[in-house]
Amino acid sequence: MLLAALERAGVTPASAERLHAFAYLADVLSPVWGLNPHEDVVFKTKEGPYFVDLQEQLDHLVILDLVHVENLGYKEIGKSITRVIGWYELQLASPCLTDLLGKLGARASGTPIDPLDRLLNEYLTNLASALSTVPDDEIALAATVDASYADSSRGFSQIIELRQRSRIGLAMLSTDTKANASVAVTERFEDFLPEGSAFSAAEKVYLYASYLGRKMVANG
Amino acid sequence: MIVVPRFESLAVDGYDLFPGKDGEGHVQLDFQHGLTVIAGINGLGKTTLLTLLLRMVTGPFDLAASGSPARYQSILPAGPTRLNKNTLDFFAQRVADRAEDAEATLTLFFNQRKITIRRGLAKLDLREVKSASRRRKDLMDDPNESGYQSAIADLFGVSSFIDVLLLLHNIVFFGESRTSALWDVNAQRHVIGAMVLDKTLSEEFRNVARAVEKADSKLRTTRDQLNKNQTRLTDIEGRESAAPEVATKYAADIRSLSTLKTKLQEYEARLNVVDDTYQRSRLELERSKQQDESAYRAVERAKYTTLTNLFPAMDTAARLLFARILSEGECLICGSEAEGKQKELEHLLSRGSCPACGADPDSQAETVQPKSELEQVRLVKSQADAKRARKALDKAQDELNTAAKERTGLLNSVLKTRGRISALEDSAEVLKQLQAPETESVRSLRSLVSGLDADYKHQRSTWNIKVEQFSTLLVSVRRKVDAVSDELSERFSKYIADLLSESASLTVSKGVAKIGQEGDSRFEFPVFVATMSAAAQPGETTRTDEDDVSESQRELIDLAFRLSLLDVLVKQGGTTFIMETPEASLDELAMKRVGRTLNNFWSKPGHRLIITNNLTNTDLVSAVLGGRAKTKRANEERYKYVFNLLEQAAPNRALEQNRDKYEDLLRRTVLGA
Repeated sequence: MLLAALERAGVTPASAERLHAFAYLADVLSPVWGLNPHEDVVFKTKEGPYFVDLQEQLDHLVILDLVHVENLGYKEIGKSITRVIGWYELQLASPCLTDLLGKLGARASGTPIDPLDRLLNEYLTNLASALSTVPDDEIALAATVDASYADSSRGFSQIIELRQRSRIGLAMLSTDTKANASVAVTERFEDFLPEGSAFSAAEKVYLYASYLGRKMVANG
Repeated sequence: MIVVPRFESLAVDGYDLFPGKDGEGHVQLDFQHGLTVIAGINGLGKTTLLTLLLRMVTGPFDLAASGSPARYQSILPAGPTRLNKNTLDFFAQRVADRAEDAEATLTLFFNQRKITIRRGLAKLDLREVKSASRRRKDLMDDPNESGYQSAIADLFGVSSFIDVLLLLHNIVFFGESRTSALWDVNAQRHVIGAMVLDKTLSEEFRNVARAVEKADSKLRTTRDQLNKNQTRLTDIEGRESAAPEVATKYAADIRSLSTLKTKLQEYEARLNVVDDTYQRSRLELERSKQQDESAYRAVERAKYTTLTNLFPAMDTAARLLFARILSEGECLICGSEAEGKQKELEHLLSRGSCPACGADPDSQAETVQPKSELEQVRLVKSQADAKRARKALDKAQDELNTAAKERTGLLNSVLKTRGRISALEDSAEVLKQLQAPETESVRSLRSLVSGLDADYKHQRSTWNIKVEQFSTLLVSVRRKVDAVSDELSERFSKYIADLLSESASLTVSKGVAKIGQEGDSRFEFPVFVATMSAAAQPGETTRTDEDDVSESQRELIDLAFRLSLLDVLVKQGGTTFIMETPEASLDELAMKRVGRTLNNFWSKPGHRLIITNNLTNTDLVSAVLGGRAKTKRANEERYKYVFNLLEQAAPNRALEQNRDKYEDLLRRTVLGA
């Protein structure tokens, strides 16, 4: 679904870095669209977000010929990190792909197995388009300047909560919901609007992408 | 802005332990050369001199009656504590005349401001405080500890003398007991608070923390009284009731309520502990996942590269498929374990045969390049790393499962117990209404219980307000810590690269402090934790506990942390660092590294380094002095850095019998011979 959204936004083939950064931003901003993140936490590293399970799924999809990868390779970061690199896109020639995308709600014509998937695709497509102006070599940086990722109260090698700000001990029994820092930023955009007006979820996502762009410029 | 004073000189008069070179009862240590090595064999007074330096500043007060605490509490005392007799008599106990006529004078510089402190050694009484500044003239008029403490706190740029004591114990003095600045989370939090927060915020933060603790204590006292009187009331009501069955049921409900409330407190306390373990396990699992991924990808990379070299025409997907089977024994098509196929492929590839059809190299059309020896060595290492990473991942998963199971069970117990308490409270309230008219004794006790209940609710609300205030302040505290964390981490990495052979870095994590006893009075503070590489693990792992590292690593990491704090947070006027026997617990290589690091430290303008050495090792002092001296003149020059206790202190039996031998040892120590 991530690749289908990137395909629609016209940013395929997408680097592995873009895919992981996109997956992260999709998770952290999902409450804006009224959705739950796919993962509960992400491990914070200097190099930007990296989802082990996502990479594993990509490998499977490549073998199943549903995804095409170009220039597959590996890069070493420092002494102890090895990550997969490559350029990914849907294998549009695959005979199963059309049907599969329909079942996942990624095609206008198909009937999704889970009706929520239609909403999820709509969200991912909007986010992919909003982020499409960020070049591939800068996309990892865009994720690292995200308000939740950049929160320096969580240093590197710590985990970032994607559902809500962390709760410890008995506080976890509280019924109050606390938005994560990124969603909190999108909510603050409305502070600049006249009373009574509000931004749509799509507008918030686009504004947030533009906010990331400004943060990247500010961080040089 | 924090100021850590430059120690300039110390003069000691009339103290029999230090008769001086000429035996006239006067010794003088000058620190202005940057480095001072207090050298002498055991028993000549090295620790006494360092303690004197400390006590000249602290006077007869400290954080605890016996000096600094071994471990810090989550809340610091409101004011300094007077030393107990034993600690106060430290100097008197060492000489026959109880140090009655002994006094010492310490000169310090706070930026350009010179301060001179004179104290008696017997009781550490303040005899004179001189300031070169007119603005500080008040210090000279009527020296008293209270005025002195407040003036010194002001000069340090901190909110109270408590902060001065903290900085002395946890930053400036690194004594043989190696009081921790990093490993003791409470100590770290207090020190960072003292150094990073401005005076007003620091003071407010501590006051509110104390207010939370006070409110918590009042709340618990009132709750105990309320429970006690509630039980009494129930008993009396039962005895005097006209409707015994109602009273019996009511009494039973109240007793159950009391039991359930106690149980709830136990569950809540346990839940907090288990949640800590759960959160740690969660982090460990995520870290292990990343390490496992990297380790296996490294093996996969080696296999993928081999396949590329052997069969350049092979399709990317096929190569990935074979590489995965070869690295992890997993089939990417069906997800099954494929150990048999893995062995078969290993065998084929070792001969250069085709992994698909098994054709020998001779019959293959494509060019084949054999694996290099270097690649093979790399692969073996990667495979070993991958195995260790998988083991660590499995362990992390097991630990998380165990913690999660207990946590879920406790969460259910807490929720269930809360529900039962609420239902019982409703039932008791109904039964209460059905009871017989009350007698005078019941009326009076009921009024007391009702008053206590109102007090309890009021105190609970006060406690909530204080907790809210504290949480709000914590946001500002976090912001201030965040502002320095990058620079601090950077400095730390530089020091660690100099001090340790393992790589290590400093990262901000969340620490939990409990203020008071109430179940939900736990707060998240930013704390710095060290992550470090280890021989048996790939990547760096977090070391939150001092037992996670060796003794020398613990010391060196703490040393790096202290020096980083001084570099980042003390920007003006130089600084002083005092370390007792730096060579203790270090091996020869570490000694040279530490020596070089300390040499870099004192070589900076305005920096003062004071160390002791017991002449058992020559390498460290030589390295601190910058390596072996190259000229005769440089040799002679070196003695200016040494305070020679062999000639300044009262000789003990060992010195009297072996003076020549010890003097030779000193010469070798200083000259690095």
